[in-house]
Amino acid sequence: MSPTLTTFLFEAVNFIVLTAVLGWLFFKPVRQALSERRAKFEAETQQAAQKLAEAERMQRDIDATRANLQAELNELRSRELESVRRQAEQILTEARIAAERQREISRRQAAQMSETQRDTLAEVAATAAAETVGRLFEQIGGPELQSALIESACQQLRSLPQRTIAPVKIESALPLSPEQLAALNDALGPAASGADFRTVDGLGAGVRIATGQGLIDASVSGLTQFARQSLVQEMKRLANNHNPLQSVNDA
Amino acid sequence: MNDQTIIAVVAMAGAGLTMGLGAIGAAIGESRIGAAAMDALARQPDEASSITRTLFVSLAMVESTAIFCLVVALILLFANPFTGAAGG
Amino acid sequence: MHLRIFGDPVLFHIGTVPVTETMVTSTVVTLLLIATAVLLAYLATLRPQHWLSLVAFMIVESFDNLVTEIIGRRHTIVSTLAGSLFLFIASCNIAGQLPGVHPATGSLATTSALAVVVFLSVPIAGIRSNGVWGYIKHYFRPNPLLMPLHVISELSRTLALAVRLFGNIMSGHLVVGLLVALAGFLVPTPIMALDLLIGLLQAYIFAILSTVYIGAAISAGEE
Repeated sequence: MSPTLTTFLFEAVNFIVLTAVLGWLFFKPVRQALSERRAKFEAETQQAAQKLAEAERMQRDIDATRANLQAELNELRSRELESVRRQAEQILTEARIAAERQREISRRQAAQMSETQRDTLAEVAATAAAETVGRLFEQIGGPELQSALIESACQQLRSLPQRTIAPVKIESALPLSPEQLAALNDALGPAASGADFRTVDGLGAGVRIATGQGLIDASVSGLTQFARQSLVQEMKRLANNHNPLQSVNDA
Repeated sequence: MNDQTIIAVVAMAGAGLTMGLGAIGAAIGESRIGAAAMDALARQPDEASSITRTLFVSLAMVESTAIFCLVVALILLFANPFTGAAGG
Repeated sequence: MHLRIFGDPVLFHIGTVPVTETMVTSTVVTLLLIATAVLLAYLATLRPQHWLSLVAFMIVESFDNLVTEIIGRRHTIVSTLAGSLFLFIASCNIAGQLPGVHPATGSLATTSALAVVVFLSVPIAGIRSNGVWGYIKHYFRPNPLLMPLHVISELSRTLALAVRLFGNIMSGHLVVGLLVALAGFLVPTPIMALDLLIGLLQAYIFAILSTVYIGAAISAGEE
C-alpha cells in the first residue's frame, strides 16, 4: 500500500470518526444545555415580566387610591372652608348690625344730649338777655314809656275787627291818665262800654289787654317774655343748622 | 548543456512566469472585491457581519487561483516529473 | 535543510500498513480535540456558569447561527459537520506552528480526504432532504445540456477546496522554513503570525464553503 493512499484513507476515516464523536459528545450535550439555559432565561424573563406587570398594576392601584383620597380631602377641605367662611360672614354681619345699632343709639343719645344742653343753654342765655332788656325798660321807665306802650296797644286793637273784641279786660301797671284812657276807649270802640279796668303789680309798665280775640300784651314783662321767647327760638334755629362753625365763619 | 539542464532552466522560468502572471489576476480581483465590500459596508452598515463573511469567502476563492499558481510553480521546481531529482 | 512539499515520511509499519507522520499528527490532534470537547461538554452540562462552558456555548451557538444564516433554517447535522471541520482544521493549523511539527493540513492527502468527505456529504444531504429523484433532477436544471457543467463544477470545487487549503498551509509553512534556513532564529515571527491568521481564516472558509455546498444541495428541490 502506498503511504499517500493510506494517509488519505486514514484521514477520511479519522475525520468521520471525529465528527461523530464531537457530534455525540460535544455538540449534542452543549446544545441541550444551551436550550435548557435559554428556556430557564425565558422562564425567568417571563416571570420578571409578570412581576413587572403586577408591580405596575399595584402601582396604578395605589395611584388611583391616592388620587381618590386627595380628591376627597380637597372636597372636605373646601367644604370646611366654605362653612367657616359663611360662619365668619354671618358673625361679621351680626357684628356690623350690632355696631350699626349701637352707633345709631350712641349717635341719637349724643344728639339728644347736645340738644338738651343746647336748649338749656338757649334758655339761660335768653333769660339773661330778657332780664337785661327788662332792666333796660325799667331804667327808661316813666310816663313816656307808659304812653308809648299804650299807643302800641291801641294800634294793635285797631287792627282787630271791632265787633268781636268784647269782653275786654285791661290791666295796667300804673293808673291810667285821662288821655290814655280816652285813647284806649277810642281804640276799643263799641266794646269800651263793658271794659274792666284794673291796676296790677308785676307788669313793670304798660298795659295788658285781654280781648275776645286774644291777649294784647304791651307791658314790660310781656315784652321781656316775648323777647326771651323769640331769642330762644332764634338760638334753636341757629343750633339746628348742622354747620354752626361754617355759619360762624360766614359771619 | 544536456536535456536535464534545459528542462531545469525551462522549469525555473515557467515557475517564475506562473507565479508572476497568476499573482496579477488574483491581486486585481482581490482589490476589486475589497473596494466593493467597502462600498457595500458604507451603504449598509447593518449587514456588516454578512458582508464581512462574504468578503472573506470571496477573497479566499480568488486567492485560491494564486495558490494554484504557487502549487504549480512548486511542482515545477521541486516535483517536476521530467527531472531526475523529483522531490519527495 | 529538507523542503517537504508533497512527500510524507513513513515513520513505521503496522503489519503491511505504513504509518506516516501526518497520520500520527492528525491522530494526536484528534485525540486532544476530543478530550477538550468532552471536558467542555461536561462543564457545560454540570457547571453552566463556568467561563469554559460559556466558550463551549459560544462555539456551538455561533456555528448553529452560521448554518441557519446560510441554509435558511436550523440544521444540527450540517452545523456539527461544519463545526468539526473548522475545529479540526484550525487545530491542525495551530499545531503546525509548534516547532518540529508538520501540520496535518499541509499534506495534500489530508486536505483531499476532507474535500472528498464534503463532496460525498453533498449528495447525501441532498437525497435526505429532497429524495433521490428530487436531488438528481436538479442536475438537469435549468437545461439538461448543463448536466456536464454541474458535474464538472462539483468536481472542480472539490479539487479547489483541497488544493486551496493545502496550498495555503503548505506555502506558509514553507516560507517559514525558508526564512529560518536563510535568516535565522526569530526573524520569521511576523510571518508566523500571518500564518496563524491565514490558518484560522482558511479553516473558517473551508467550513463556510462546505456549508454553502451542502446547503445548496439541501435547498436544491425548493426552487
